[in-house]
Amino acid sequence: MRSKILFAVAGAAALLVTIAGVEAQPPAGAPPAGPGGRGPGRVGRFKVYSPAAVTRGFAAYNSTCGYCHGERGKGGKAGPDLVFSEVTLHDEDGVQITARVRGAEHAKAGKVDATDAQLVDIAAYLHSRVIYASGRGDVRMSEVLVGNAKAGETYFNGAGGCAKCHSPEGNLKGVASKYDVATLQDRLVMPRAGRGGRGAAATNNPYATITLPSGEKLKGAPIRVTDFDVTLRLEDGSTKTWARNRGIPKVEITDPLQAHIDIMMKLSDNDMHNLTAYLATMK
Amino acid sequence: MRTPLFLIALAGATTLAWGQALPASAIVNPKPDSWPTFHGDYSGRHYSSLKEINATTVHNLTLAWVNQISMTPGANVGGPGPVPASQGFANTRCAPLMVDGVLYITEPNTVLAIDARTGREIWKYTWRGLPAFALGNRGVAISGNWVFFETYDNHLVSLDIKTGKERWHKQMADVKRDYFSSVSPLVIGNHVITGVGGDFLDVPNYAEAYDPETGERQWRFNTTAHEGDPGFNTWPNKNAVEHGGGGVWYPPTYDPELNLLYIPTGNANPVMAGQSREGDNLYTASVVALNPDTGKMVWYFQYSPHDTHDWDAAQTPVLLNATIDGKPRKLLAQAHRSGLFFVLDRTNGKSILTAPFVENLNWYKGIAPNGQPIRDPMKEPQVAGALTSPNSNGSTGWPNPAYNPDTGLFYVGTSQSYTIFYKTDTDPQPEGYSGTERGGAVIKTELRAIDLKTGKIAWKHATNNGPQSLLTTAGNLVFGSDGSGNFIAFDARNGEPLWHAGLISNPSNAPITYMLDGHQYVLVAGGENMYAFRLQ
Repeated sequence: MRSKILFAVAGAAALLVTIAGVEAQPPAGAPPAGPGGRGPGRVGRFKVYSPAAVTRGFAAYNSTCGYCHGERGKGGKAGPDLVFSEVTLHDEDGVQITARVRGAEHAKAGKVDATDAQLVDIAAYLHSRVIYASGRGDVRMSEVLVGNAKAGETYFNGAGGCAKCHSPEGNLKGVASKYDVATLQDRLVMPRAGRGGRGAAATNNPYATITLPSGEKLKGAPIRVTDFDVTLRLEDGSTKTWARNRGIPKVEITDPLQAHIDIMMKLSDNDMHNLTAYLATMK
Repeated sequence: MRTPLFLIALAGATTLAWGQALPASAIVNPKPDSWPTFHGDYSGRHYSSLKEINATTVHNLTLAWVNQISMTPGANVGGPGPVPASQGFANTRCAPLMVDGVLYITEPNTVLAIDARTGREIWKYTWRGLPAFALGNRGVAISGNWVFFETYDNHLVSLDIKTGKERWHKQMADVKRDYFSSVSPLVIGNHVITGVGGDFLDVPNYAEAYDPETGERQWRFNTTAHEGDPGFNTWPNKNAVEHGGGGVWYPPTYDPELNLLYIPTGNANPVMAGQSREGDNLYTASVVALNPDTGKMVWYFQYSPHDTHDWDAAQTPVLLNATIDGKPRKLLAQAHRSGLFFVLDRTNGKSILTAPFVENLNWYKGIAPNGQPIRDPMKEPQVAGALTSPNSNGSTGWPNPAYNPDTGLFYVGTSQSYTIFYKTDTDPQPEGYSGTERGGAVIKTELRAIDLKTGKIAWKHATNNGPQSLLTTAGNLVFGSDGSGNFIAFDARNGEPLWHAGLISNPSNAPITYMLDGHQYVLVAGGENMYAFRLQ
């Protein structure tokens, strides 16, 4: 039951993010659309409204509220921020927002020409903005490509040492067609996916060499390596565990991507951006 | 080497009196049969003078009891929400308090009193909270006959120490603004010190003091310098201050002689885009020394000026005394998330030492004469990406370090990493995180011992977890873990593992130790299970 609820929330959140198509074509200078939340659990703190209501609300907001409260509810010359507003944050289904808009205090600032149904939609839009604001946003892909491809090529073939393992006509052929520019940049630093390099292709995973007291050496994928035990998946597919004490048996970990770790520690941002620009030419 | 786990039945021990009052003096000078605050005392050292369990005897350490913590609500329920069937699974992130044979722990929106002799539940209190960010609760505080804890949705609750019945609760912050609470309160005299945080909707945060009897608020200290406060000029305007962050997420420390309370503060907001908050943004990512009677600041030291990497200072400001250049000094040491180790004079906040405790940091240009790092603006999140070490998780985190006066070493779990920080919001008024990170890698995780006087690494030991909660004792031991489910006693002098126990899941909280019925116990939790160890 719990997982079903999470799926439901996740689905609604994803839909909402898509609707941020409303956000997806923001005026120049505004942040791009993106998954606001950090996963369904976080979105679960905020009420998610239907994409249709958010879309209608976006249009109604712009025609009714935007003049005073600014683009995307961030506050304008005549009205305060509505995203971090206590009225918005305490609102349930437009009730509190409608009461505020119809109330005496707001009447002093000006009459709002909107139906009750439109105010409910505007509330839905503002709630979608709260979720968006609480998130991290997306990388602005069109602005990542700032490097010099020629300089990147020079670094690739020279100081970077990339050409020792890679070539544009070999294992990097067409790489720019496979990945967006930010992913190209991420992967040139560390090809394993995810922060910390999780999710690597099996061929890139570190492997372990264990030296048994007899002198025999075995290689395998390190399943678990602690001070007290080591478990490897051996080359024949079997899994084996040994007890360890004071570093015996000896276990050495070899990372096929060690060159990337070494480069990571000396790579300047200029060189990284130039390399990205060079990789982006490899369509 | 591996010690088998045995259950030891301690029959007949549950007939003793439960839940005796804890006088204030017992916090200032804790007895060996107690662990009366999150840190064990006010100092934050997580050090015990007990040494029945020591480097020689530790191989005889074995399991006394284990308890799977139940989250099913009992008779004591409070709060505004509906009565839940359960608050989910236990996930212990607190340091248990131990007073007169009873352990007091927190789980999500739940407080339990547990018989320290058997692990059996004595009473439970469940808070019916509103939806809130659940960071993990650090535990309770005790004063006299009363237990205090913070709920996720920002209420300070006072319970009867004997029964768990609620006496009162007070709202500290508005959960609808996405404030959340995680701190274990700290009792100082007639003050209950609390804190609230929030990282997602750009709220200004604060520490407060409440009257332990009435629950009335005594003072509030704003961690973003408001108009009229010294430090307001480190913000461009009032609006930036009112959205400036500075969460109070971590239990403070206290020096009774100086009557100074040391509160570590969170990062500035918006988190990764600083264009709407040019300046140092005091008092975010800092330690502030306050008079606990008034809430007035005496001094501050900022570890990460104008932080844009999510490097809060929510680590323990450890109070310790040592001889520096032939003179006895009252010091404060903190291993900061940014990878720098700071030693300050805790009487005035002046720098004694600033040194990196991990390698490869690339985010600062140098150390200023006042001991602060000189940030490199090009290593702030950039739209096109900035390759930075460490990542936002930092070189260490909230899991507590420990300091052992016998070795003069400061122990801390560390991580070395790189990441690419991207600024995602270039609006003049960004919101929330406004940035993200991708790529990079964690390249090394180790338990490290830092020489307090030089900042140099005395020893290091590879682990699989990086930051971890620690306990050190006069028995020349450091209790920690390896990220692979092992609870380990390391030799405090050289880092050699001397004993371990494989738990069902990795230790998740701050281990504690105490004497009970003439025996020294070590207590640690792993997820929903709590384990007590003593010598066989």
